[in-house]
Parts: sequence; structure tokens; C-alpha cells
Amino acid sequence: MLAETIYKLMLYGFLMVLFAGAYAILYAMGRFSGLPLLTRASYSFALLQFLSGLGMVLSPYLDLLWRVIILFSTFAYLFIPPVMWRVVVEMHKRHEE
Amino acid sequence: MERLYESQKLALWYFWTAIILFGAQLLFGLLAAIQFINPDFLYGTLNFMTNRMLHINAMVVWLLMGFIAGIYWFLPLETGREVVGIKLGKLAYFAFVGAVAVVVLVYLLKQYGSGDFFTMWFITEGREYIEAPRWADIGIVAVALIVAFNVVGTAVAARRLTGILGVLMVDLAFLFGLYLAGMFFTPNISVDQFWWWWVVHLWVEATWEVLVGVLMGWLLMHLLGTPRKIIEAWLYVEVMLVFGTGILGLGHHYYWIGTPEYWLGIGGFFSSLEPLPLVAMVIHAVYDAGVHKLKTVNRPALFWAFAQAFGNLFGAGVWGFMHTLPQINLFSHGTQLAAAHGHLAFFGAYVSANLALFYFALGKTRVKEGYILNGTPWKIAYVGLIIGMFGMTAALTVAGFAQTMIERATLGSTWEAFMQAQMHPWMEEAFRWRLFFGVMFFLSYIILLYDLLTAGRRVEALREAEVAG
Repeated sequence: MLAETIYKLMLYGFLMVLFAGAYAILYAMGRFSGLPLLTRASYSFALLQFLSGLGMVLSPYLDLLWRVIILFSTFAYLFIPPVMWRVVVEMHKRHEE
Repeated sequence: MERLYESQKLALWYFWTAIILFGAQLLFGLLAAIQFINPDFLYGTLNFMTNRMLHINAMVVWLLMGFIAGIYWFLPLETGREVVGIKLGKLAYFAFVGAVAVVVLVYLLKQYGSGDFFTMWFITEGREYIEAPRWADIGIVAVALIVAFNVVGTAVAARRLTGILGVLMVDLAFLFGLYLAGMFFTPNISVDQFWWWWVVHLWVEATWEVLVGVLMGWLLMHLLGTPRKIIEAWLYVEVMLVFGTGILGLGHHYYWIGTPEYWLGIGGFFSSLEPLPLVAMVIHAVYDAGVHKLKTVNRPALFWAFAQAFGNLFGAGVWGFMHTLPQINLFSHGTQLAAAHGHLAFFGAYVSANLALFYFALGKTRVKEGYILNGTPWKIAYVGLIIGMFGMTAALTVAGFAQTMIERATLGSTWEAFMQAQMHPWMEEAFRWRLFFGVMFFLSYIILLYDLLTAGRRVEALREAEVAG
């Protein structure tokens, strides 16, 4: 039983960051190449990332503090790609000016 | 072909020594991988612990040499003058290489010693990953101090202090300062481990990360013409993020060494945030790739630079986060899962960076301006090394998974549980796969070596043949 709980937590953690990375890569590629389809596809990875995070949050093995920390991370990942995209574009735009 | 500064010639010495030590690292790694399958292999002649120690120490030293090479390569370009203490730098190089040779010989011939001061000073300190005897430890600090002196002295002589140089100077202070923490010696194992982690985590995961940030910044400026302002702004962000999450993320190693309970919360909190900057960095890498459309006169350097950005995300982010929470780490710490994470993280963050630097230097020394450093061998080596590394990581992940679930979570960490896990088919099979991908990695290294030795020359020969024909 314990092994199963640990295994699920580990798997959700693995998938959470993996999907967050996929979301970031696809989002940036979509925005750069002006392909809304790619950007929309990236949102599906954002959703998968969120669901993986929820998998950890809902684990009965973690107490409230850890659930809150992971929930915070899960939400943070949702905003990182668009926010970072704006930062990077703004940085380059300022230099060009 | 550009005229080289003396400092850049010194950088080339470091590069070649590093690449040879990279081969040594792989060789000892392969021997250790064979011993995982057949523990009797070379038993009594070259024991597993010696192979493992040499595998890890060779990695630390060659990566460090690559970083020093990067500093000596770009420093004169940054300051517009020759490095002030170049003779001292060359002396340090010979001292460094000589010390490494002596230490390796001692490891091979002596392998272990009794737990006394003679052993600690002249054979091995016996502390995992930082086994170098005390005299060699002092030598490493001295070399780091000389590099720091050369950086500061050259900047002062040139009357030039850029943002990149500022970050480098601060980082070098931490680089030799934190290494001193590994030289404390105390019979209290908790206190000993407390300082030991300062070297193994803070030194490697914080100061090296920033140093690589500096070197990759210089590389992108010279390789792609990325403006200095963008590089410096990004470098400050990276330093903030790495230090912000990385320093206290150290706590994830403190869970189980007998430190106060608050480390559990601190370590867990910051560790869970550690992948966030890695995901953010990927955005910039994709942007840069798009802006430059992968066009450069030095494609291998560019591709290895991209491998660095993505490798860091997978190795440190995905494989790190998977087992960093204390609730999981309690069962996975020290298993093959940690080895899987370590292999991919080091390859992604540091090996890729060093290879990008090597190819960049080659592009400036071998290939005439305008020629494209773009043969076939580097592509084979690139793909082979990446597949080999991911294959080893996958195999180690399966082994670590079996260890975590069977040995720790189900059977309860007893000696018998350890033996049962070791003999479990998932582990035995995984070790065979690890060896297979290890061999693939080694063969790819041979192709890489061939490419490094002949790149540019082949292009020259081809062009000359075309002209003649």
C-alpha cells in the first residue's frame, strides 16, 4: 500500500514537470512561429500538468502544508510560459529600440 | 584564423586535458557498470569503489577544467587585453594536471588506507565524491584562487568591469570559499555531512550553475551575436533564480542526516520551486533558436548550447523533482534514482556546456572565417551521446524504482531487503541496459574525439581537393 502511494506520488511529480516543460516549449514555439494551433496544443499540456499536480495534491499521504506548496507550484507553472514570453520579448524589444 | 592570446592557448591545453579526462571518466564508469552485473570482475585488482570514485572524481575535474578553459578563452576577449598572470596560470595548469596524475596513480595502486591522518593527507579523505587527499584539496583551492586572481587582476589592469565579469568574480569567490567546507573534519557524522553537502550541493549546484551561466552568456554573445545587455539582464535573473531556490534547496539533502526538523520544511519548499526557473529558461532558449533559425558558422557549438538548456530541464527539473519531496525522498535517497537524476543533470547542465565551449574554440582555431564547422561525425556523436545518456538514465530509473519500492517501501530497508532488491529482475535487467547504453555512450565519445581531433582539417582537405579537382 505504501509502495503504491509513493509510486503514484513519484509518477505525478515526474509528469508534472515533464508536462510543464512540454507546455513551455510548445507555447514558445507557437508564439514565435505565429502558429496558434501550436499554442493551443501547448494548453493541453498545461492542463495535463495541472492534473498531474492535482494528483499529488490529492494524495492522502501529504499533509496540508505540502499540498498547499504543490498547489502553488501547479498554478505557477500555468503562468510561467506567457509571463516569461513577455519578459523575453520585451527584453529584446527594448534593446532594439 | 584569429590570432590567439596566450590565455586562449592555455585554454586549449585545459580543453584537451578535459576531453581526455572525460574519456577516463567513461572508462571507469563502464568498468563499474560491468561490476554491477558481475561483482567478481577485476575484484582485488581494480575494486568497484575505486572505479566508482575515479568515475565521479574524473567527472568533477574535467568539468572544472572545461570551465577554467572557458574563462581563459573569453577573459581576454572581454577585457581586450592579455591575462595579467598568464605565467602563474600556466604554472597552475601544470600543477593541476600533475596533481591529478599523482592522485589517480595513488587511487589505482593503493585504493584504500586506514582511517588515520596519513591516509587523509596522502591517499584519500574517504568522503564520497570529494575523496581527494588533503594536499590535493589545497591544490584545487590554490588553482581556483589563481584563476580568481587572474580574472580580477586582468579586469583591474584593463579598467573594465562588465556585469558578466562582476558575476564571475563573486562566483569565483564562492567557488574556492565553499570548497573549503569539504575540508572540515569532525568525528560527528551529522556535522560532517552538514559541511560535506556544502561542497556537493552548494559548490556544484549553485556556483557551477552560475559559472556555466557566465560562460554560456559569453558563448551566445560571440556565437550568435546576442547583445550584451540581454545576456547580462538574463544572467542577473538566472543568478537570482538559482540562488533563490538553489541555496535553501540544499535542505533536501539535510532531511536525513540528523539536522533539526525545520530543514524538512525549508528543503522541501525550495526544492519544489527549483524546477520553476528551469522551465522559464527553456522559453528563452526557444526564442533564441527561433531568432537565429539555427544558422551559425558553428552548428555543433549551437546544438550543444541548446542541449544544455533542455538537458538542464530534464535532468535537474523532471528527474530531480520526481523524488525531491521528503515524503518520497525518505525512500529514494541514495538509490539508483539519485544516480539517474545525477547522470542526466550533469550531462545536461555541464557536459553539454563544456562541449559547446570546445566546439566554439575549435571554430576559432581550426576553421577559416566563413567556413562552416558542420561535418557528419559531430551529428552522430551528438545523437549517440544524447540517446546513450537518456538510455542510461531510463535504465537507472527502473533500477531505482525497484529499489525504492521493493527494498525501501515494501521490505523496510533491511540488509535482506537490499539483497532481495539487488537480485530482482527489474534491477538485474536494468543494469544490463545501463551497460548497453554506457557502451553506446562510450562509442559516441570516440566519434566525438575523432571529430574534435579532425574537425576543420577535414573541411580544409575537402575544400583543397575541390579546388585541385
